[in-house]
Amino acid sequence: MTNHTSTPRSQDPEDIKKRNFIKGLTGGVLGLLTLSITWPFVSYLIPTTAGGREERFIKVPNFPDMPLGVPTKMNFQDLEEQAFLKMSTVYDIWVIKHSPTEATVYSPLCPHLNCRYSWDAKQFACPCHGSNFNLAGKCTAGPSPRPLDSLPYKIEGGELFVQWKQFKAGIPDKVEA
Amino acid sequence: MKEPLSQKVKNWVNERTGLVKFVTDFLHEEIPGGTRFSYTLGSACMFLLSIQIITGIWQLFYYVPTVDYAYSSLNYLRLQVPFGWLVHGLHYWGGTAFTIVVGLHVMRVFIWGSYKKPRELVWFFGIGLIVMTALFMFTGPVLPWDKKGYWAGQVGIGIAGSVPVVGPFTQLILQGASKMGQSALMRIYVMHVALIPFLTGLLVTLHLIAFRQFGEAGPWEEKKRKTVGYFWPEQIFKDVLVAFLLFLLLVFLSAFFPPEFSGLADPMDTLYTPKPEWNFLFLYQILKFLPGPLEPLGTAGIPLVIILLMASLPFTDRTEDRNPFKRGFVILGGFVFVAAVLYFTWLGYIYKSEAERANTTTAVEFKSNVNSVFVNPNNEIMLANSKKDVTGEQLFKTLGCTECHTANGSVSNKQGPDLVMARGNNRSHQWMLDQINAPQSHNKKTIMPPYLHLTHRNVELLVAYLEGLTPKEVPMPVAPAPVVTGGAPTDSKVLIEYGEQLFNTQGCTQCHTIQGRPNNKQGPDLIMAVVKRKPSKEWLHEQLMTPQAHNPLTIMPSYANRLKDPQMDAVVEFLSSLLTRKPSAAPAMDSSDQEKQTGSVSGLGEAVNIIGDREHGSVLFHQSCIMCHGPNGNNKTPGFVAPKGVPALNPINSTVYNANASTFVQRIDVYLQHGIPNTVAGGPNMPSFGDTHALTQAQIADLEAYVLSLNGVDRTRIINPGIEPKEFFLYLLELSLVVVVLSLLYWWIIKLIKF
Repeated sequence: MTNHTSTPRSQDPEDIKKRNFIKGLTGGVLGLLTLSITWPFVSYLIPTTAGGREERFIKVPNFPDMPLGVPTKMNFQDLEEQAFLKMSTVYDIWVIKHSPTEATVYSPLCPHLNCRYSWDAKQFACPCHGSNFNLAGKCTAGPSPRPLDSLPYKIEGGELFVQWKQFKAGIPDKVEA
Repeated sequence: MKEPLSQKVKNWVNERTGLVKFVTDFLHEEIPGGTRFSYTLGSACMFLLSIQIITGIWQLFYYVPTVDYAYSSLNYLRLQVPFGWLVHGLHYWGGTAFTIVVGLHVMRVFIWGSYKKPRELVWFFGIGLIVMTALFMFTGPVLPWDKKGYWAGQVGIGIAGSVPVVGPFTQLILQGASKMGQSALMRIYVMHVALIPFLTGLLVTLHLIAFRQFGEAGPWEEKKRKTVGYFWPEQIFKDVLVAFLLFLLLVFLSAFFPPEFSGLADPMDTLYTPKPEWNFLFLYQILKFLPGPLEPLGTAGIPLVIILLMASLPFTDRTEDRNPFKRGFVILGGFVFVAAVLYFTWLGYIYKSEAERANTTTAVEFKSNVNSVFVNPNNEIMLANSKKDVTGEQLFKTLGCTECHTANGSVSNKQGPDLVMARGNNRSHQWMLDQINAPQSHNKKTIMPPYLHLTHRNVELLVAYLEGLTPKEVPMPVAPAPVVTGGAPTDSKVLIEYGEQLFNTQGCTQCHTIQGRPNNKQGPDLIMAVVKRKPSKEWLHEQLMTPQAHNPLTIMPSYANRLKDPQMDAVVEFLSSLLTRKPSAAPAMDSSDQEKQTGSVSGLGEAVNIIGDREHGSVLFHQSCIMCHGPNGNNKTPGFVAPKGVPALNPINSTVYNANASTFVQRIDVYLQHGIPNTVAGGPNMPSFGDTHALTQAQIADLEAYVLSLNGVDRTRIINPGIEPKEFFLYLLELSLVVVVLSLLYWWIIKLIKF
């Protein structure tokens, strides 16, 4: 190894003072360097919500042919955008058509813990924890803290357009996730 | 007395690792001859390598190595991720700085003679690290999969392939397929982020272990080595200071000189001149001096010779004396080498290819002098006029004719007719002369510019060249049996089929469609025309033989020489049959229609998702768009007569303009992709560039970036910078100044206080 510490360092107070000053300054510069790298590099990893997704109504195919009064599971496709990718995603919804101009649209997710429920000819029944809902979406049995979540929709020219939304599960209030 | 916890932990660790001795040995190392700033080069390399590792890993959070998303994922990182510009900029400039600092480090070691016994191994591992640096610099630029990177990879792999014996095998391993594509990108990616870093780590470790054995060599004079300095804190302070200044420099470069956006890789684009990164320029330049068969000598030989020469240094320069003034021959050799590399790099830097020179003159002249749309042709014309031995073909190729015309006898998607096919019109010699001098005398609506200033001799040369063009043999469909043998059209169905084959193969589709819908082409849709006019067979026959008999201004060529009688009959029969043909169904639903259905903006091409390069867009614009839209998209340019109904692009209509680049791009993309019929009668239609594949999506993206820039919108604007790059640099600078001022103040105070 190197011939280290063979010559003792100067113990002159002036020299020690100088040495300590340099040590402090080195630490200071190093700290500044670390800070100016760490801060932006951590911000880099924090996802931005700026802009947000535009809210738009998507056409649900086959609405004019739907039977009246029967809850029916319908699918529609929307573009989902994340980072640099745009992907088409298929969503499902429950639609009850009351008339050619009126309908009820429910999110397919149980408000309890986001399981997908089904229609058993009498009521909506969630297989996970036994929550039941009537046609109006009201919880008639089980642990669900709130009624089924309805989705915003509009009917134009006989066609149904729906806006996809997801809500926080497990709480009494309908809050967008 | 009880030991404090920190001491306990320290002891616990030390008993098991010997860390304390290691650290003290390291910190208290003596530096013969005292500390120096020139010794900071090694640690600066380490600092830059650390920056490269961190920023490299950070980029992996977003980058994906696939040819369809590499470019867009990197651009997402650069423009939309907070401080993405910094992470990418530091990596880009860090690589450049690393190459330079490594070079300086090697030069210092060389001049000080520090490679001499007993430090040969340090030198050898160092050479290994130089090779790694070169590999990093070769593989890195390919990853963005932009034009620059694509060509760097293409050429680099080609060079590897040209090495004798092992070349083809190496090329196959690097490329992973018969041509550049996904496999090559993946392999280059794995090399850049895993293989080379691993080897570099190994070599750095060995380099440092070997270095620690004997430490700094110190000054070459025995006397000066007597005084000693210490690693901690004196040398470390210098190292940290240099590292920080380097960091400031890198941030400055990232903020003020961000890496360029050279547009998505596009192998189809022949207007782009590939040129290597600056660090390979000297090799690129040397290759130009080597004739073909000797090329492998340059590509493989030169780097190999450099490495061998360096590796042999400790054995050839064997004297114990490290004083550079006593090693004149070696030092001179080194300086000649460095000077040669710098010289060739400079030559390579200023070198411009023919095409590049032409393009830059176009761009520069249009920028500096917008007096007339025909500025460029005129300057070219002056040049052409002054040349004595110019040929008609050269004139055709240099005067801009090829912007609108092809001359190879096949269908093209350019604005003007193919001039070999146009030979079918049998124009007179005088007609040709007039067409060049005053095209509007034949057709008032033509967008062809008059070549007024061309000398008479040159016009004659050009016409002679055009008249000498012989139509290429276009393969004729084989005539069905009854037509050939019997001669009489026994079965009209067979004849119609044959006519349709001829229609599809003999160039008719260049100008006409048979869809029953309006089109963007030069000629009418023939179902619509036939239904409207209900022409007799005689009329159709005459239209094919002498189109000018029906319309003196038509640009339709005569088919008299091209089709034999039975073929002519077949085409006439086919055209007559269009009267009863049903319009073809509207194009099938494709994904863009589906998008329409799902409510998003319809009909957009891939180009809207590509960050284009406005510089290259300017080159493309002045090739394809200038005739209608004017220089720099300004149709009010003096001397330029805008064709009827063509909108100005600079400034663009306010209903199209949007300050948001991605919205703006979407609004103009539709026109570039699909074209649009002119609303003013007689005005030229906007051709479709996307649907017809006349331009690639990468080129359309470049054009869009250019049109945006004409209207003051930057396609490459950082959407989410975290902190604006220039501001960030200024903050950093201010903080550093505060540290400097505070420490000076502190130093002054402790100087005053005597204790």
